[in-house]
Amino acid sequence: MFLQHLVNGLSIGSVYALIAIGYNMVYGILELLNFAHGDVYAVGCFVSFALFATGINPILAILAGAVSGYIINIIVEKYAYRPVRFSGRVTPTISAVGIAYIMRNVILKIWGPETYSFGLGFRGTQIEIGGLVIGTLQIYIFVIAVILMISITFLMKKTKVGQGIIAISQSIPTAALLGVPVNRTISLVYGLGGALGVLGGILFCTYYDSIFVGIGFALGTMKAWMSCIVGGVGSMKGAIIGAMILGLSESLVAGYLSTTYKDAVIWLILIVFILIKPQGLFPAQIAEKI
Amino acid sequence: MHFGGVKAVDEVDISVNEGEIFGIIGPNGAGKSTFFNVLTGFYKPTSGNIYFLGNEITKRPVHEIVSLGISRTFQNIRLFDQMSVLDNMLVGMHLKIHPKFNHILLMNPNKIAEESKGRKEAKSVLEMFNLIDAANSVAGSLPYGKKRRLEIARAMICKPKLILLDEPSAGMNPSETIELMKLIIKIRELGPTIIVIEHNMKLIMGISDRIAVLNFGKKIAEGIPTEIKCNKQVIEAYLGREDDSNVGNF
Amino acid sequence: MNIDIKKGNKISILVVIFAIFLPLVVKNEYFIRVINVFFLYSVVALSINLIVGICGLLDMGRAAFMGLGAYCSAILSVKLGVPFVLSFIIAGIFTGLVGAILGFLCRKSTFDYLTLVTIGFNVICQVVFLNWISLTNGTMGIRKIPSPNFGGFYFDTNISFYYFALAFLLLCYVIIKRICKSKLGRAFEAIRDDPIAAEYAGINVEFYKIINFSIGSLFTGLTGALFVHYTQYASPYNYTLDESIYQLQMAILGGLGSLPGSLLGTFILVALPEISRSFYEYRLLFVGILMVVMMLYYPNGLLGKSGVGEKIFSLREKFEGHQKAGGKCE
Repeated sequence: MFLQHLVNGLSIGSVYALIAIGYNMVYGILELLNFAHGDVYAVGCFVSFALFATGINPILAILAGAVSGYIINIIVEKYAYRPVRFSGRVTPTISAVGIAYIMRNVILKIWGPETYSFGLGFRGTQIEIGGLVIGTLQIYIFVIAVILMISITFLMKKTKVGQGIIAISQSIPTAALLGVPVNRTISLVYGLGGALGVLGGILFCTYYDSIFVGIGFALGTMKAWMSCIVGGVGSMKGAIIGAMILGLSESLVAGYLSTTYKDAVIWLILIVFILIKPQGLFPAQIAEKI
Repeated sequence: MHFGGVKAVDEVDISVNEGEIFGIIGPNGAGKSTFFNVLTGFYKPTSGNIYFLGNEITKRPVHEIVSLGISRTFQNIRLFDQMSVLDNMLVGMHLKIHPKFNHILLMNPNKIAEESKGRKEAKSVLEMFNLIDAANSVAGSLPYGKKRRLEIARAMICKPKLILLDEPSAGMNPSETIELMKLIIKIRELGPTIIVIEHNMKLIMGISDRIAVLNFGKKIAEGIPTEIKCNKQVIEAYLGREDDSNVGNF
Repeated sequence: MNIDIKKGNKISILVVIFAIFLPLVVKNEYFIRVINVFFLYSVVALSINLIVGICGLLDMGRAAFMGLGAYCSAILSVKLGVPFVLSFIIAGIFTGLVGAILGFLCRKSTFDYLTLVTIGFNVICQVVFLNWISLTNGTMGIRKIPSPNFGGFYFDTNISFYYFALAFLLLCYVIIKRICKSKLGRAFEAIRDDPIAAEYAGINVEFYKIINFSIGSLFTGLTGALFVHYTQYASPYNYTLDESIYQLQMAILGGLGSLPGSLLGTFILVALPEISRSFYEYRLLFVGILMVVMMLYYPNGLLGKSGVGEKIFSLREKFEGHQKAGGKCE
């Protein structure tokens, strides 16, 4: 039983990790709680969902969803975030909240609050290993998530663009002086965050074979935040580990304690975490220079 | 003071005498600001002790150390940008204004004695620093030179025994710097001991009674300005740097 | 500046007199009810202003504290028969204490961490309100909550509650305004503008943050309690994150840091859904668009610095020659 929960926890954890990475990339640069992260990529997921229904090749539909997530985030960044980038902490955060609500309501107006079957039609088979039931779907999800995570880490460390991103996260003016195309890079990061989020969201919807308007905020942004509370805000490593721990905890709590109180218990655990590790396990080293 | 593997401040042992102006110089990255930060409790030192007026203050929180009579200004000016100049000063007097809580709730704010006393004092200090005309202006809207003066005025208003100035002339042109030098000497007349961190040689040499030189976290020299000028190690530390043009300007 | 204060006072007195005579002239029950709701939400907006606007602590889960005050008073008065005056006050103190505890837990947290915690706390409270059935009656809520009463007199009509709520609002407004203008308020603002410089001015930043959060929560809790004594029903569905955001927007719309602004913002956001049913349906979308537009063009709200209000009055300023530190607690 325990191992079963472990397996479930790992798959859902890897989905969370994907979403958390997209979130942390943006946070790492601008130290902004991207409130709209989930709701934006939810739009992308719905785009894919709508395209599935037309019978188009599912891979194309997924790609279209990811691309729309990318594009939406770029537009949002340019018109709603960039103008207020240096206006303190409260203003950009509120702007993001506004975008989140707009996205959410657009989805509500078009698709309504109902839950739909995701329609990918891919349930996969199940493998039994010594009493453990592992779905091939779970394996695919885990593998895809891991591949994406490795690619992103590689991108950050080894490519020029990645180095530019790291430079910006240290100091925007310095990066600009060094020739890093700041606005373009930040756009790229938002776009990537959106695309990654859409991919994560699609994996999530495939896993549960359902999609509804709440996958954005409740299951995207919130989970990203919760991963950050555990793993530390602003660091890639923290995001991944935090997400994994979150997935595992959810699985264990739901399995052993109760599903009704699952959310409350998880948040209680998180608050305890905040008590003992106020910055999370691996917080980004942001030194305040005085 | 360790940061990971780097010793930012390594066995720096300095004694400052009451009433003197003490300068601290050194190339960039020498650990000067870190020294101030450790001194005032912003960083807890990894080893060593700090004494102020005979009391140990090593592990105390910043606001406690401040209440013992230490003030400071910052390399990057830190004002309360959205508050008025007068309010900035009143915050500086936080430790000296003690209105009773029931007075706050029950009395018209304009009539509370402690508040009026505070305002009067704040205004007179603003006059002394030539800032009284800007009293109702938003601090964030002031020109750079006035902002720096306000920061110093705010640090002075609670009559500290020791005031730490962290690169006060940063961003100033030569004539502003001369005004600053006059200001610092005027402050000394008000009583406090002053420690100044600076890059500007002319300024430091011009106002300090004694100077310490830091490099790579270590104290490499200490003495009166004329001694420091001729110190071989000091000259070496500054050779080959962007501001070696200052070296000739002693 | 002296002239402005006197003028401000004159306007305030006129407004209060207007408010006192209003229900005697307009007899529409529905209208009075909306104004009552406006009065109560105004206090919430003021408390949000105190926490977010004055002290810079971005709390996005205020509704949870309303719920705490509401359920505390409801449970005390319905299940334990505690008289209103006592249950009301205890609810406020209880909520203030919870605020203090939360503030204490987050005293070393960064700005963003605190926001995350307030959201999480809102979620926890929601779940508890819905599921701790023995205490809160779960989804059914608590009914038959007594109207506010004192010494046998019941404020159980819309008009009598109107005056009760008006008095409550005035009292809270004056108290919060006085706190803002005092050493406490200045310390809060200093923490908002530069916590490090505040610490170096001798302010115990952690302590003051806790005080701020606690005082704000006290007011929120009192209001939550008043709400359920007015509607005589406590429902667990009223304290969602959406609610919190809507309340936050009331303070933002009027201008963070401007107390009259909180009243204006609340009035607009309470009245609009009543005026237009379709607005009600789209209200979250409206709030979303409003937030983005306001942050881009009027970050200080309608009555804050460079807000619409300020723009109207700034012509006079141009003649006087200096920029005033206006929009704060005026």
